Amino acid sequence: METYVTMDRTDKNSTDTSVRVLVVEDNPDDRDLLLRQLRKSGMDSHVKFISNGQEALEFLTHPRAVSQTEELIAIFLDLKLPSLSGLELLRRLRVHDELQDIPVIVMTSSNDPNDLEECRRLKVTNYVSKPVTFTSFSKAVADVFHLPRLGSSTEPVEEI
Amino acid sequence: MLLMIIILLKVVKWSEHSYEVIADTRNCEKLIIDTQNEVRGYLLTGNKGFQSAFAGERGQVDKAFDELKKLVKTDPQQSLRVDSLIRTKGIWFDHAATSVDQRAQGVAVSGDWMKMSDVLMEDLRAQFQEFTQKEENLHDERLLRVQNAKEAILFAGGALAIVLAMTVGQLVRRQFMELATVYTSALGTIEQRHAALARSEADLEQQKEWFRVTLTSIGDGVIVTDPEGRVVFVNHEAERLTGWNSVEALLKPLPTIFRVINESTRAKMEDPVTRAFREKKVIAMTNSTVLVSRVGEEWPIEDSAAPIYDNQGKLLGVVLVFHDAKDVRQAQNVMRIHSEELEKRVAERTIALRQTVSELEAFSYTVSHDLRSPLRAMQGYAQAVLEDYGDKIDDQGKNYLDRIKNAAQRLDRLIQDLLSYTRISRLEAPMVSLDVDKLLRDLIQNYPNLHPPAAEVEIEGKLPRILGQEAALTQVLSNLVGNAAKFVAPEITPHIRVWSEDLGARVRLWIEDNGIGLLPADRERIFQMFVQVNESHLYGGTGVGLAIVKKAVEAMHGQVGVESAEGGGSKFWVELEKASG
Repeated sequence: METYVTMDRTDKNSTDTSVRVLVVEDNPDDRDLLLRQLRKSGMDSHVKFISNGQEALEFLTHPRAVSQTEELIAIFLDLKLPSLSGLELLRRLRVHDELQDIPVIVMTSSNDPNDLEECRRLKVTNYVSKPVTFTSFSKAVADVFHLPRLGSSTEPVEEI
Repeated sequence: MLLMIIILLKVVKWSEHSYEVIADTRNCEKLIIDTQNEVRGYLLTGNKGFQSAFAGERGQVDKAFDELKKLVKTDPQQSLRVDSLIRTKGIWFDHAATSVDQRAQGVAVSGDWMKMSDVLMEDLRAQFQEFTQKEENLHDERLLRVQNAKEAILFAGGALAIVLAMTVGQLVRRQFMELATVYTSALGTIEQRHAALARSEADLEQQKEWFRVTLTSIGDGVIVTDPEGRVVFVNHEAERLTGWNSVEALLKPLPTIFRVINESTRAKMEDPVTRAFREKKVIAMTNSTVLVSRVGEEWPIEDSAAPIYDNQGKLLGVVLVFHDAKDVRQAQNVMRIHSEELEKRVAERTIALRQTVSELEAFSYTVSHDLRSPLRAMQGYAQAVLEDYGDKIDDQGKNYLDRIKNAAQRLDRLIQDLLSYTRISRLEAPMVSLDVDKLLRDLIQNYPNLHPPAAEVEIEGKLPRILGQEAALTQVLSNLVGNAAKFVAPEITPHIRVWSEDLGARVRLWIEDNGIGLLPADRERIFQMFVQVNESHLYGGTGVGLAIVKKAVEAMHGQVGVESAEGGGSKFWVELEKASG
């Protein structure tokens, strides 16, 4: 059966609120529905939601965030974002000295072949189809540890 | 007396002989002149068959000369003359034979041939004249001797003499009568030959005239130059186009008469005759030449020029042929402009179309993205309400929330199907050999709803390789197998059977189910867009899936159809090209 990474450390250290996963998503519905599921399992305190690309870039590159980003397991990225698109953010990350190796999981909804081609080129780690549920979210995080970091990325699986 | 009579008879015989010789000589001369005329005619016209006739004629002439030689064999001096005649005749024939052969091989025969031939003929004529003169002199001498003999006999006198003389006279008269007949016939022959000669000269003249009239009235302009490039012949059409009449043009340098420029650049062009002189070959037609006439009129023309050589390779001149190409050129220009316009329009439309298609595509992804996110919200919140507040809502309320969720899911599937349909229509991938067996097994592996206990899929034997596009074939198989599992009555477990049927160059894949089946009337309709039959919407159908299948199969040059299965289900088939090897 599937194994989920537990990021809930509240039982050991209640003050640990370090960000383990960053979700960059502008759609409030998608964000709230995912947050609701994460909250149920207590994972929400380790997941940071940012709603636009520019802010996400600032958060990741801010000096104060460096210690936090060291703890970062993965970034969940929506491609359609205001101010700075997901692909543009990804491009910046890939040329960043400290951030280029962070696993990036793209949250897809339309499978635009041009976007997918660009994703392949930018070595996206994995894909999850929207809506992102607690199940698919946890599985994607778990897979980060099994999938080779950067390199052969997989195709998004379409549902029948 | 008798001796004298004998001498007289002998002399008479001699005299007769002279006439024969002269007649024969005339015959020989006539034959060779005839031959010369025929050769001249042939060199102009190139009549087929003359070459073989010529050899026969030569034999005839040789025979006549041999007979002449026999006639004069007792006269050493005339014999020598005949020998000389035979030699000269031989030279002429050899010369003529060379020219005839050349002409037969299509080599232009030069004017030098005529000169040489004329010299030889003149020599022959002089020899003939001398020969004939000598023979006539001999004849006169002999006649004189006959006269003398007669007188001697008369002088011998006496009745006997008279009787004898009369007898002799009778004899002589008879001899003279015979002689006269011979002479008359010889004369007749000569006259006939002269008439024939006159006729053949007239024929030659006629032929020359024929050529002149033909060249003059031909639709193409014809200009002929001498080796120095000076005009020696201009026909009517050439006069009309150049604006020069033939008298004024005569011996003028060709570039003066024939001024040509390039149609588009308007640069002065080298006249084709100069080029023909330099390149020593036929200069082909060009289609951008404009002839500028004497008064500045411009004629688009097509022209060609050919050098004329003698058999020693010496240039004799150039013949230039050209025609007015105004109408042709105009038509060509109109055609070119039209086709250019057409091409431009097609190119513009193609660009516009590509742009539209790519805009539509981008639009379809945006629409899909934007339409699907509120649907996700509806689904998600309905689910959230059910989960978080389920205890506060009664069954009817839960049922309504389920319906919201299902409706949202259905619309989401429809959007995805439409997007697939759009994508399949735009497939431009090349046809490759595909392993259907592996493709199908992998596909089943990926979808839990195709595994027991949800469904049973049975693949009979090994499916063959086909020619297709992977994305299209995957779509076809997943839609058909997915449908087979989906459209089944609720209490029944889907049972799906897949096998292949070999049709030689093609192969049919069969997918049989135990589902709700189809009415025969719906079998065609079912592949159309948005067509749902047999309450299929209750099973989550969108009316797009089979339209996608048809589109994808057609993109792979295949066919798709459906039959009823035993026991009420459906048997869908897809026919595709078999891959070699």
